[in-house]
Amino acid sequence: MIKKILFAFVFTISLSVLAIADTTDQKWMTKVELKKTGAHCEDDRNCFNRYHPKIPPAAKANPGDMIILHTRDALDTGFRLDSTADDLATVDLGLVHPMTGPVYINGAKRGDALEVELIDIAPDEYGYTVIVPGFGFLRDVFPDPYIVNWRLTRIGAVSDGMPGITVPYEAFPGSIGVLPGEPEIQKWKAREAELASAGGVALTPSPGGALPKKICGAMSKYKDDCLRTIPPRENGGNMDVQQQQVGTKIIFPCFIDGCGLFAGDIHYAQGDGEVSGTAIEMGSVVTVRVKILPFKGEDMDMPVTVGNDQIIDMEPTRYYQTLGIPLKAKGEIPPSHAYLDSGKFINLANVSEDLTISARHALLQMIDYLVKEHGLTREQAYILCSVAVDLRVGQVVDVPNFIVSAVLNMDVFDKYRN
Amino acid sequence: MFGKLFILRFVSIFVIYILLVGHSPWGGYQAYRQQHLLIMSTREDAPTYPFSKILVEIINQELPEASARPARARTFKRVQSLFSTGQMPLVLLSKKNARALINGTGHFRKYGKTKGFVIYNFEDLILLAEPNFPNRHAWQLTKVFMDPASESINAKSPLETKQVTDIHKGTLMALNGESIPQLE
Repeated sequence: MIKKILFAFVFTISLSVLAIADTTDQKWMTKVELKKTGAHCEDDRNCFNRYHPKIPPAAKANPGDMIILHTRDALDTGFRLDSTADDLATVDLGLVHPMTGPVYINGAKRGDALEVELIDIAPDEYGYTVIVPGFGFLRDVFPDPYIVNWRLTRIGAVSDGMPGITVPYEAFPGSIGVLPGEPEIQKWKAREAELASAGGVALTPSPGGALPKKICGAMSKYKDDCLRTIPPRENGGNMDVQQQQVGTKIIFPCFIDGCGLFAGDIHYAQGDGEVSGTAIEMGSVVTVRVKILPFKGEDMDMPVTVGNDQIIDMEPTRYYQTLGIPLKAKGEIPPSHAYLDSGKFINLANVSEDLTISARHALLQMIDYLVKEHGLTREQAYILCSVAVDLRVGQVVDVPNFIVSAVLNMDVFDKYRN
Repeated sequence: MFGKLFILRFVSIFVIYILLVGHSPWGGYQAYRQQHLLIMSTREDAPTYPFSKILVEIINQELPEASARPARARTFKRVQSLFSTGQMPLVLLSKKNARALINGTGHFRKYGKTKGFVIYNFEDLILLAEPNFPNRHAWQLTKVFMDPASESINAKSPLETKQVTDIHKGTLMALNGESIPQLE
């Protein structure tokens, strides 16, 4: 009997030793992790929503380290699966976009370039797509708020508000970049102020909701120099380019020592164009690894993306495509052209070499198609276009009618999926 | 209920407003908040959102030009921020929270006192207006709630109940039977 008990004891101990010795304990990564330290960006020392070189680093990392960034949704909302359009009117747009970082890259100098390799994006369980009044490519056609709440897995996004549709997982950072230097702040501010005074769309610095408060808030010395995050610029930022997926490398020019790497506004999926103004917006955990390219930043105009190992094939094999040429109604001035104040433009039904009008033409046809052939409401169709329709330039030579196509991957419809 | 002069003035102000904010991508968003009479509620004061939808329905029946809509804020903090800066002209709160908003106590302790005026009572709920809410609009809303049809939602004149703060001047004018004031 004693022998049996002893045998059982030794057997159990051996099993537990074997369990400890599995592969999980093998580690090689050096990790630098920026977690959320509060419920929202303003409570989080690792979060900011304006660009300025004085924003202090939240962490330091070496080239080759795994930099892990816990990111927030683009509007820093408290949206939930039961959110409705009534929740949209109270969103504070001063909080756009919460960024995680900045991370000081040891050894990087102004004038270098930073190669950022996207290693992984782990999605939250919830995401949303909205129509914000006054924002988006067809803001004149869709003036009212609308929201679709998505349930996310790495297989696909589904929603009670979009029955019969599954949007494939094609995550990428809506915003990723490096901090600008002082000369860039002054240069970019000046050109955007000129545009604003000409009636163009520009969002000049505004301290309302600006973070970090100490640097960019209403009482701060730098409040008029903290740039908004909406426009993408030479430092990257809100590029919203869906090809910048896991496996690609994005190269940024560095404008300050340490570069000041950040990311946020992660998109679960987005069509080329992001036409409603939002993709499937979500919080996430992003992992990147960086390499310094000495002096390469001096010759760079904008960030570039190098694709090689990306894990997702984004080209659909089953698709529906509409074609747009620069046609519009006589008397119509789309909001994109309102600031030009051209008497000629308003009276034309066919304008010349204009990709924006062509894109609008293609998109309106796609919305009509989705409504007529698939029974979606116009708002649902617009949202689906924002997350799954790619606007592509067809040609820019056949004057006056340059072509933009709108391509829908038909596999988003469950009836066509395997 | 709205005169031609009022509509003309409203449209003029609206067009000027659009031109002023037109350079910002948020211009249309701010214009949306101006275009509709938004009744703010909050998730943190549970009865307010469902009741705001009932109010919106009643207002739109009587004052379709108001184009009222519910607007639900995430937190008390957002309520205070939007109301105190005049971005949301009306807020529906339970009496306890309305008192806390005005006095800077309870959930609103961190933010200090906030100015607001009573438009009408609905049992434990109070509709408050921010200080610059026009007398004319307050008068019109009050008339809607004074209507016997509003008895179904237990609308109570602020003159008949103990108040958490002052009554809006436009509301008093309506309750006292005065004629509709001009838009200031």
